[in-house]
Parts: sequence; C-alpha cells; structure tokens
Amino acid sequence: MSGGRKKNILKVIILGDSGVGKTSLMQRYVNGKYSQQYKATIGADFLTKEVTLDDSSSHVNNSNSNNNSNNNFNNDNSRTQHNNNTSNGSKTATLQVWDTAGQERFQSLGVAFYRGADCCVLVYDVTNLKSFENIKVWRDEFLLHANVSSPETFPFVILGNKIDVDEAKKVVSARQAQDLAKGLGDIPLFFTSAKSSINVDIAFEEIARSALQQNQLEDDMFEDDFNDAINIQLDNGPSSCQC
Amino acid sequence: MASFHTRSMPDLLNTLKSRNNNMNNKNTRDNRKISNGQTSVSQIYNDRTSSNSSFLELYDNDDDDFNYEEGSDKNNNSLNSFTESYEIIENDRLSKEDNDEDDNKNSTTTTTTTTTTTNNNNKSNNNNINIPFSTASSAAYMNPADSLNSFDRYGFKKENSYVTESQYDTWWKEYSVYSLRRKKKWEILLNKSGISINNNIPKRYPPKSEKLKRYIRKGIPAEWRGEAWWYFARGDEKLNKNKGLYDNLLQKINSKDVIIGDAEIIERDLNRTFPDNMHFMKDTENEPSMVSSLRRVLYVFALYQPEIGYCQSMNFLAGLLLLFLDEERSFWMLVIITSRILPNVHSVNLEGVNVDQGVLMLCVEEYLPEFWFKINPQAAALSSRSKHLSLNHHHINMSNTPFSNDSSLSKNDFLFKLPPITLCTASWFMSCFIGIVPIETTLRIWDCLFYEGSHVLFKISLAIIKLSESALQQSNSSNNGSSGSYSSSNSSGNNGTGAFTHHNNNTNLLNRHSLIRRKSKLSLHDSHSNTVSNNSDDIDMEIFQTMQTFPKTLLNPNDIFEKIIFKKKYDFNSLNQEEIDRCRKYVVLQRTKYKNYVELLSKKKDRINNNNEGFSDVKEEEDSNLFGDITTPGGITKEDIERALTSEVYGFKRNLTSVHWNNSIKQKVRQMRKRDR
Repeated sequence: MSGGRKKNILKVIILGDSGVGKTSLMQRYVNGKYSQQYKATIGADFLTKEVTLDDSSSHVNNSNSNNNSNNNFNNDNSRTQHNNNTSNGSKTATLQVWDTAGQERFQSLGVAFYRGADCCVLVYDVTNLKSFENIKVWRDEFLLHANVSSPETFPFVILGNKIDVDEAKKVVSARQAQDLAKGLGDIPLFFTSAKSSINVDIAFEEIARSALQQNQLEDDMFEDDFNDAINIQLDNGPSSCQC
Repeated sequence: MASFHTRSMPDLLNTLKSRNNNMNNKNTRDNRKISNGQTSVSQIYNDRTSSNSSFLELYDNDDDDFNYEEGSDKNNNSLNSFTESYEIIENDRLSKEDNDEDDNKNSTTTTTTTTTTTNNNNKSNNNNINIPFSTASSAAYMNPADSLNSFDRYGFKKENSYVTESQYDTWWKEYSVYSLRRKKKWEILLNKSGISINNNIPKRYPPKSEKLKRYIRKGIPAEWRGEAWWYFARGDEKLNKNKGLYDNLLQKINSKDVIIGDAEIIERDLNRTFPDNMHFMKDTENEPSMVSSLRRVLYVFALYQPEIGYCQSMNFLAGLLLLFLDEERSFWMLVIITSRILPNVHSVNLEGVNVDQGVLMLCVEEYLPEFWFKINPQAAALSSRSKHLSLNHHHINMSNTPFSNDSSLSKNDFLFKLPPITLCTASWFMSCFIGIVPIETTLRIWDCLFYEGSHVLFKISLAIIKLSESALQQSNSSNNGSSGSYSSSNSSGNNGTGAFTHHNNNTNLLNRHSLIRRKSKLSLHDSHSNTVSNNSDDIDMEIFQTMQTFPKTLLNPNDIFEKIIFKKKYDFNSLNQEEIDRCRKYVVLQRTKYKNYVELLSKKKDRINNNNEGFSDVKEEEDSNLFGDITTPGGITKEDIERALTSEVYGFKRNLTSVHWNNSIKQKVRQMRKRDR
C-alpha cells in the first residue's frame, strides 16, 4: 500500500509501553551498543540498517515462529552487512526502524507514520505485567491507524524484553506470552535482552524477513493501488459519490 | 540550582546534597566572586562554607579593579592570565562600546589574546576560561589535576555521539570569551538603566526595547539565567497569587492523601532525564537530590494540573529549570510554560502540538517554499510558484504521504494530516529544544523564549530548517547526486538563498556534519549508491534523518542567531507573537472544522451502516480510508462538505521593517548619534 514499486526500504515500527526498552533494542540491533543512559523518547526517532536477505526465502513463509531462525538471512552485529555468499537471489534492503514514544498520549501524533509499515514490533517488559497486557492494545491501535491491506496477515513480532533480570523479578511467564502470541494469530515471539544482547539479532532477522515478505506482497498488489485508502482524499468524497 | 560547575564530581555531589536549601544565596555569592576583583582567592575559597550575610558584606565596596594577587600560589597563575585577558577584552570593549553588532570581529581579537596569555598554563587553560560561570568553588576548578574536563559548566557531559570533547573544547575556548564580553556589556547596560547590580544577580531589567531584545538574543549571562527567566516570565506574579500552594500540594502528596495517576510514568522517566548530567546521575545507592526535586515538581504539577498530569518531555523542562531555579520556582515556571507559552501542548490529546505543527507547516510553506516542496512534492506540482523553482527532480510520487496526486487537493489538508516531518519537529516544541540542540544553544533559545514568547520557537525552527538545507545539500553531493532529491538550488532566486555561500564557518558546520554522518554510520549513501531511486520514502527518510541529527550539531548558538536570526534578509524573522497567535487561532479553527466534518461523516455512516459501532468516536486524526468507505455510499451533499470545510487560506502579514533600507537608516542614525557625542 505504500505504493513503492521496487522499494528496497523496509519500514519497521516498534511499539510498546514507556520504558520497556524500545530505544535500547533498536540501538542494540543497529549500533550494537547498550547504554543505561537513554533519554525518554519524545515523538519518534529512526535508524536505518542495511540488511541482506535471500530473496527466495522470503517467499517461503514466515510461519516458523519462536526462536527458530533459518540462516538465509545474513546479519551480524558488525555494521557491514554485505555478505559474500549472497547468490543471485539475494537482495539488499534498508531496514528503517522507527522508535516511538511509549506514553499513551503520543499516539495522537504518531499515527501518521504507521502507514506504509512492513512489520510492527510489539515490545513488553517481562518485569512489567501492564506492559504485557497492553500488547494487544498496541496491536489494535496499530491496525486501526496503519491502514494495512489485510490485517489478518500483517506481520507482527512480539518481544519480551529484559529477560536478563533475576527470575524473581519476572512477572510475565513464558507460557503466558506464548499463549498470547498464539491467540493473536501465531505471532512470532522472542525473549530478548538489549542489555545482554540476547536474541536481539535473531529477532530482527525474523522482523526483516517478514517485513520483506510483506513488502513483496504489497508490490504484487500494486495494481490495486488505486483502491488504496490513503490515496482517497477528503475531497474526493463528493466527486466520487452520487453527485 | 546554580550549577555551572567545573568541580570534581564527588566534590560536587557532596556539596549538592548539603546545599539544597541555600542555592540562591550561593548563586548570589558566586556571582560576586566572578566579577569583583577585590576578593582574594583564599577568601573566595573560604567562603564556600561561610554564611551568606557575612559574605555579602565583604563585597559591598567593590570597584572594577581586578586584583587577584593575594590568591594562593596554586591558583594564582590561571587567575592572572584570566585577569589579563579579561582586561584586554575590557579595553577592546571600551573602544567599541555600544557597537555590539561587531561581535565577530571582536571575538577574533580577543580569542587570539586569550590563547597567547594562557599558553603557559597548559592544562589549566580550560579551567580559567570557566571562571565567569562557575559558581560554587573557585578552588576546585583552579586545580589542574581536576578530572572534571569532560563535563561542561552545567554538569552535562561535553561529549556525545555528535560532538567530541575536543570539538567542544575548541568551541568553548572561543565561546567563553564571547560570553565574558557579553556579560560586561550587560553590566554596562544595567548600570546605564539605573539598575544597580553590585555584582549581584540582577533581579530586574530595563523595560522592553529593541536593544534589550538584542542583548537577550546574544545571551543572558549563564549565572543570571534563572533569575532572568523568572523575571521575564513574570514568575513573581504567579507565585504571589499562589503563596504556599506548592508546599501544600507537596504535603498532600507526602501524606498520601492523593493518588497521582501518572506516577508510574514519572518514576520511569526520573532516571531517564539527563542521564548525561552529573547532577542527575545515579550515585551508588543514594538518589541524587536533583532527581528527588524533579520527582516532587512533577508530582505536584500532576496534582495541580490534572488535565495535563504528566507528559513525557516535561521531565526535561522541569529538569532544566531545576538546574537554574529552586524547586518551587521551577514548578511555577513549568506551569507558565505549559499554560501560557505552549497551551495544550502537553495536554492529554496533545492537540496543542498538532496546532503548533500546523502553524509551523504554514510558516514553512510561506517562508521556506523549497523545503516545503521537498516534504510535500505534490504541493510543488500544484503550486503556481512551482514554475519558478527547479523542481524537475520531483517526479510525482505515488507516495504514501497523505497528499495524493489529486488536483482537487484541499489547500489546507496538511493542517489535519500533518506531514511526517512534524513527528520530528513536534519534539522541538514539546521540550523547547532541550536535547534537540546542544545545551548552550538550548539556553540561548530559552533566554529569548521567556522574553519574546513562543513565536521564538517557530523562528528557531525555521532557522534550523534553513540551516539544514545545506546539510541536505551536502548529503546529496556525497550521494553522488544519485537521487537528486536535495539540490536546494541556491540559484532558484527565492528569498534568502545566499545563506550558505558566504560564511566560512558554515563550511565548518558542513564538514562537521558530514563527519558526524560518517561517524554515526547512517547508511544513507550506501543505499543510494546502489540504486537510483526516486522513491519518496527515500526523500522522507533522508529529510527526517537530517532533521533528527543536524540540530544536534549546532553547538554554537551563534550558528543560529548570528547567521539567521539577526539577518533581516530572512523574511521569517519578521514573525512576531501577534502573527503566531493569529495563525494558531486559524489552525485551531480549521482543525475544528475538520473535526466537525469527520463527525458529520461518521454520523452519516452510522445512519447508512449501523454495523460500525466502533467508529462513533472518530478522532480528528482518523485515517482517511474511513472517508473512502463512507463517501461512496452517498448521503452527503456537496453543501455539507462545503459548510464543514470552507476556509480562507491563511495570509501572513508582510512586514515592511524587514526590508533592507530600514537597516541602513538605522546605521545612519547610529552614526549621527555618535557624532553628537
């Protein structure tokens, strides 16, 4: 729906309650760094990262969930992503990761940039039950505003962050999380730690892969683009109705 | 809290804990130290523990003699060199008095002087430059072994991902001299106006005038700032009407009589407020007193103003205020900012943000058409002005922007569906540029904000966008021109273009910026070098990224002020508060109309199709696809639409004072005055 033919930019939105670690995850993935010193995010920030994906693989499917990642996606912590074993079928893409403000009221600002997203990452904090309960709220909010062509198949990924903390501090069990992910339509789920760099790269592989798939899916539907709701303007209304 | 220190951190943290209550006194004392030559260094040093009143007496008969000779040997050296350079500045200044347009010339002279005089002092160089602003301890910053060099005078880490410590130091060496000179000028101005400051922090200022405005735009002395902001924002008015309220509310909170709804978010943000500032840094077990103050201010505010509660970004506003004012006054300043200066901006629906962004977009459209067309290519195609601009690179994009290739596009559409860039610029307003531009630049903006009002934020935003055009251009050339989207075409003959051709410093800025880009490894050119893409996403992305990073490089406030704000050739400098207020009203009206329109549509829709109960509370930001669905079934007449959306296009007042001839008249008048003297 973003209408970019040949688009090699994959737009990823990270959503979740304030303080769950959205900025940290993005920084860990893109820059390989972690700092205790992140400021609260106001508005939205984004970073980009080049990724190389095997083109054919993205067509397979992304039904493989959880911590099982296949290796056709070459990615590591270092910033140079260009991999040698990229065959003819491979494709470089720029992953555009959008980090958002977590406070609820910022919703009214951010909706504009949900559009054109190829994947949405929902983050909760394993030590914060409310942030977990809000996962569904964030998903619905996203679908309401992102204007995706088929909400049922739009790729989400759930990240349970801060997995490095003491077991005693964890209030959301893996079981609960798995149930939720399943209930929301078999959404891939990862338990991550931006601090200790656990599962972050694997999770973003999955994110990039499903984003690419979504992106290609949309390209296929490009002919239908005239029905794209975004292109329907306020003032088209009168001209396209009975008068 | 008068915290422009260069002391060692442990030292500082200790003092901080103990002096919470008498910070104003300290402020007063410190200021005396700075500009009064009669005191010996040992006296100053001892005074750290002496009581306020006795200290004041010490200084009552001051003169302008800079006599530090009595100082201890250890400190003597750097002080002398400081005195020396200060005297030279002073002489320089006297010869050029009242001619404060020539700061640049001035500063080159004085900088050279400083460099030579301080050369023998090796490491203490930076320290002695810090003298005028340091408040608490003379001894600590005089100590060359002090490891404090990585923090600035407000306690912020000099280094960040955009500025290295040596870049900071290089700049600061020059800028500290500038600050010194400005302070001297301030003192003369105040003296002339019959305001005796006696080396105290001034509690009042002369009536508003062009001259005062200019002085403020050139910066209020750092140690005067808290008081000055308080004065210009008319804080006393507010406080006197509400005496004791802060303490009462605080008591309520402490007694747990009330529940603060946003407490959880406040708590989470406390440790995410200025993590790079030593006053906010977590110190082993104990919470820094500054963080405790911040908590109290935010809690009391949430209780006092429930329709705002707590909104992220207020932590930064309150945090910065606390560095300059005591708790109660910081609280009232926060009230003033969120109600008078930025109404509704922090409210639950953030409508004020949307309004201000609408206003900003109108300003951009009016004053920076080239940039406007970049963020809104369709407007370029539609605009009658487009033929005057070299826009051949703007192929009409089937983009994901809300502005489609529809010729009947409402001219004001962007007021309801703000361009993506406003997500970035919104934070400029919400946090009044804290964290957006480096601290010294932020503070300069704040000086103007309380004196001139909120329109300053718009002007500064426009100035930053104007400056960023060169950065965009730069990134374009480093892209080998592959996408060709960012030639900001100086030759387009539009207003204010020569801006990036005649400043040497500007090339520095550009280099710095490109360096930073390289450093931060934002892989933009990589993506461009491979594929020639006309995709509007690329454009959006690059503009957004530049707007996100470029302001962080504006270390020197004068990059904005001297190069843009003081230049009359930029039309937007004629914007005033009246205009912005009028513009705000207009945008509010337009958005209300739009909202009504949406409501109208949803009502019609409900009537036609009752299944959609979920859409009855459609907000104004609602997606446009809704209308696509709604309008097709019919039932809405053209008249309905027109009634809902009729709008006159906003017209900016053209201000004659911005014309060049006026400037030359002013100069002539000045010359005549001089002759008379």
